[in-house]
Amino acid sequence: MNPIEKEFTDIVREHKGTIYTVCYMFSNNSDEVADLFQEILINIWNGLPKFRGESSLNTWIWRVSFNTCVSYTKKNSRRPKTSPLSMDINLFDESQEDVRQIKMLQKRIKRLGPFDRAIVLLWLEDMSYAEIGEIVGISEKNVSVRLVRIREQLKKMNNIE
Amino acid sequence: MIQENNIQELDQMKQQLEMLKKKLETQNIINEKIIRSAMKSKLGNINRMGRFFFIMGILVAIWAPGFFAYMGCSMWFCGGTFVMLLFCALKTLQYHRELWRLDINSSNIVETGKKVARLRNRYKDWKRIAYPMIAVWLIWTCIEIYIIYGHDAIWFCSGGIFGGLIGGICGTRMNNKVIHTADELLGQIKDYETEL
Repeated sequence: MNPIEKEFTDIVREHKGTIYTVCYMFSNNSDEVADLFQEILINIWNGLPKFRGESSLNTWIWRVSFNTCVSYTKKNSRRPKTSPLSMDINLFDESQEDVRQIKMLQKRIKRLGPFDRAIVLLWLEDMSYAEIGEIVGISEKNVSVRLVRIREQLKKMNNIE
Repeated sequence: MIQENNIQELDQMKQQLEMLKKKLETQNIINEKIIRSAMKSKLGNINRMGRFFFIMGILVAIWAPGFFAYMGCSMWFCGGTFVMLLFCALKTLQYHRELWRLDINSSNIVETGKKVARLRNRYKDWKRIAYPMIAVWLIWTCIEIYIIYGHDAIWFCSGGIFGGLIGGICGTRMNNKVIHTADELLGQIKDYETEL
């Protein structure tokens, strides 16, 4: 394994949870999760030599993951794939209580637009407005305005439920 | 009140996200489809080899006793040859049967691995049965030919032993090929179980 492959493997191993979480929040079924997961890994692999460390690695991974998912959702098209990578887990099977809870989170987040989904996920990760802004590419002030709207939306969802 | 609701909502979502993260921590990244397709081709090779051994065993078991009887060998020898060849064919059938019935697309990969490992070990053990059996059969063949042809038997026996050796080498190579393919297959299954 050459140094770049090793670095890539370490990054994927370290951040697989983050990547999978983003895929899950942007997908409707496990096949879509697998497709998105692979797509993100390809983008990380392609982008890794260009990553100069101007932002933290974590921020970069989030950004690549969101950009991939948002553009995937916008296009709503599926590139023909031969063998998607995935994780041996099915969070679409609601037979367990924790999976039901996770599914509830996904349902709430999925009702938001793709951009707001990214913001709320980062917000749930306890990231600062500045960090959220850096990842999604908007100002800190814009993040706070959007979060107020998202909170309102979540509140409405809660009332409907 | 609105603020309280929002905080409760947020807390619940955070807990749910924690559950998700906890679940994902223990997960491995897999590429099952690639593994299945690679396994399919290797398993296909093993199965083809098994079918070849079985069909050849049956055909030779039918043909050889008649040939030896025509040459004037004893009925005991012809019968012994038939039983030996039939035994080889049936052993092949026994070894391969569970893999022939396997559908790689729907089977459990780990279970498939156990079956392949079993086949591999049986092929390794088979040498311990086959070599002495062939040696005994070759000696018996030489004796039978000597009884029929007397001193001229040396040419037949030399030819027979040479043929037997070539057959033995080919058989050993094919046996090793099955073991080697099974090893590769088991390696892939091991990779499947290993985290990226």
